[in-house]
Amino acid sequence: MKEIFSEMPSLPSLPSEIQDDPERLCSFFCKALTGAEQYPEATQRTLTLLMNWGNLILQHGHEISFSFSASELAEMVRRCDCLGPAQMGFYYEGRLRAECEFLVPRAIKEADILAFYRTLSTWSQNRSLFQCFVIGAVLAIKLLHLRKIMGGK
Amino acid sequence: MNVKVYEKSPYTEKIDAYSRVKLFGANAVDSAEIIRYGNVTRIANGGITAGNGRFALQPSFSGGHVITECYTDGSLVLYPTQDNSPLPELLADLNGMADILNNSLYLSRKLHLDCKDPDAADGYWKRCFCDLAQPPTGMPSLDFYNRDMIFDCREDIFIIDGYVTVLEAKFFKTANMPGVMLLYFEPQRSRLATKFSPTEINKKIWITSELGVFLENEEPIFWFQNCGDLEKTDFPLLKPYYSTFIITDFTNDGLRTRNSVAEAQAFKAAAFKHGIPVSIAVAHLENGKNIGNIRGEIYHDSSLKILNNEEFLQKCDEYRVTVDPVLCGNPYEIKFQANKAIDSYLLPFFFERGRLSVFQETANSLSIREPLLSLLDGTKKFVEYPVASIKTLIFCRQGKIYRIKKQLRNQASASLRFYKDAMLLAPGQNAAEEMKELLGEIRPELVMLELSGYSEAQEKLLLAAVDLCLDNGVSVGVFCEEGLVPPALAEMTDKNFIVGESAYNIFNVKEKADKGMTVFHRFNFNGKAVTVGKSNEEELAAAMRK
Repeated sequence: MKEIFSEMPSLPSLPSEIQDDPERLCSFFCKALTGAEQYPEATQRTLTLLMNWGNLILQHGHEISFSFSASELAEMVRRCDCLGPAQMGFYYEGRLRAECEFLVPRAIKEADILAFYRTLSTWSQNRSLFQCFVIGAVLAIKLLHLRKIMGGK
Repeated sequence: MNVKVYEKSPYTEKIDAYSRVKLFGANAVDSAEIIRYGNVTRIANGGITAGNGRFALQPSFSGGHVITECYTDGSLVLYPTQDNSPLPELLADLNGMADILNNSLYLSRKLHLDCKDPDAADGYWKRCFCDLAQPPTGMPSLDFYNRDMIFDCREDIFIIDGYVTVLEAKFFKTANMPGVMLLYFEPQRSRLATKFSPTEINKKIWITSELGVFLENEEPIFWFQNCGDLEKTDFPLLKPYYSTFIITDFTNDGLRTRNSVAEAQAFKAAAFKHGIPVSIAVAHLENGKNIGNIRGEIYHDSSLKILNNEEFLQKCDEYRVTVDPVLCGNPYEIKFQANKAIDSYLLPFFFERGRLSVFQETANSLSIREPLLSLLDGTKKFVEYPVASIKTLIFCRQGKIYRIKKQLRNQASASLRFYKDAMLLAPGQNAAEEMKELLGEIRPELVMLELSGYSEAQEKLLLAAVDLCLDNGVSVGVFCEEGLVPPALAEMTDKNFIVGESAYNIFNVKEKADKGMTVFHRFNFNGKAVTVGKSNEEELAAAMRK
């Protein structure tokens, strides 16, 4: 039995820069949207929407229920993302759906923190291969949301 | 004309197999069919895994498939490859084969992927006919057009390990992802490619199946890519021009020359059926030199000789190429042609090429045949002439076979072939047909047979066989008893010999030549060299009385 459990179980590592601070959050979002210089207006709009949503989570996150699936992630991204459609046009929807399905193969329930951490880890390890950059920012907001819920409990 | 002859590339089939495994395998990933390709297991999300389940091949969100690793913490890592469907690589790895092409060839053969049509591929990847829009790959390429000058396909020329490899480019696409996948296949259809066509009609153009000839020469030249089923070739492309197909005649390689002649014959016949006349030229290739870093040979300034129809048919006959009947005209038409072999000696004194020699001998004397055979197989020679070895077909009469064997002391000679006369005379046999088959099989220069003691019907059959031989330019020697020459044979005779044996192996011979001329000779076959002396009527008469 000892050999079987020789390795210490651990949770996936998380982006350390995500903090409960609006300024640092804004800085993280800006970094997440790299390669968006060609579309300054779309980037600006996206950042504004993300910040609004981030502030809402910071203030009322513990009151909002947490649910997470590929289609919900795609919907969340779609609500904030002005950059992706500008970059990819009609390809955007298909790409977004494919990336979200890869990140969240199964719906994650509120208590399943391990599954959400896996999603975060998968994103962070393959970050350069994703084209819908806003997914990273949405994942950061969802992490804050989860923390709020966990803290609230 | 400079002729470059490239060696056949072994990579064509392998790359074709690789593409087929990639295409049809990727289309099978999401079905149970995939387990036929290797020890793989289907997983969720339309992927497959193998071994300990740590790695998987999954549909990538950019189209195609991608290798994915499942980390111990359950997170996934993608390993993007240059190739957007690394299935053949994965399958080779599972089979423990470092050579991906060989493993693909194995799978393609076992799964009969070579029988599937990539244009009709159905599943994840489908054929996308966007060929015209695709930028050039940077490799030398050939564009093919069909009979109405509509673009057909593009083929790229690769140099792989020194082999010139020509592959047809095809593009495939997934339904909901941008971008296309380029795969290369072995060309499947006979086509004609041209670098540039003459702007004027009725111009002379060359056609060659050697890619090197096509690439090397800046002349109006078409490359014929022979993939079989020639009648589907777009021959109307040739309609505005006078076309000449080039046979490559390798001095030291009869088999390759034969293949080239057979190809020319097939091309000419197929074109003829489309109403396109094609003439034939022969390029004599000698003193080939290696072509630098490419596998093949170059022949500088090779001479070209245009063949007329008769010469081409002779060439086909020489290389035993079966000629399509459409090229031979009406089989019942009797053709009169200048026989080049006329007046050339096959065996001095006795046989001329394509002519009939009749030997009349006395019934009880020993035949001159035995000493003649020693001249024909080269064991003896005339004093002033070189040794001859003449391919001779000899018909032995039933009942005299042991005698022949005894005369030849059972010494088989490669140049002499013996057959029983029953081959021509047995009931139900068609003597002329049988003789035709034998001439095709043995290719004799001389046919010898006996014509005494047969019934009238049998004589007719033998005469039909003799006629066929002479019509095909084969010399004939007929032996019969003196004075019993059938009138029909007498009319055909070119050389008529009356033979008498004066002593052992010494023969007095009277030759009745054309215009009533007679010549007497005494042949002494004792000794290694045959001596020829003068003789006269009296000596012959004395010899015949013996």
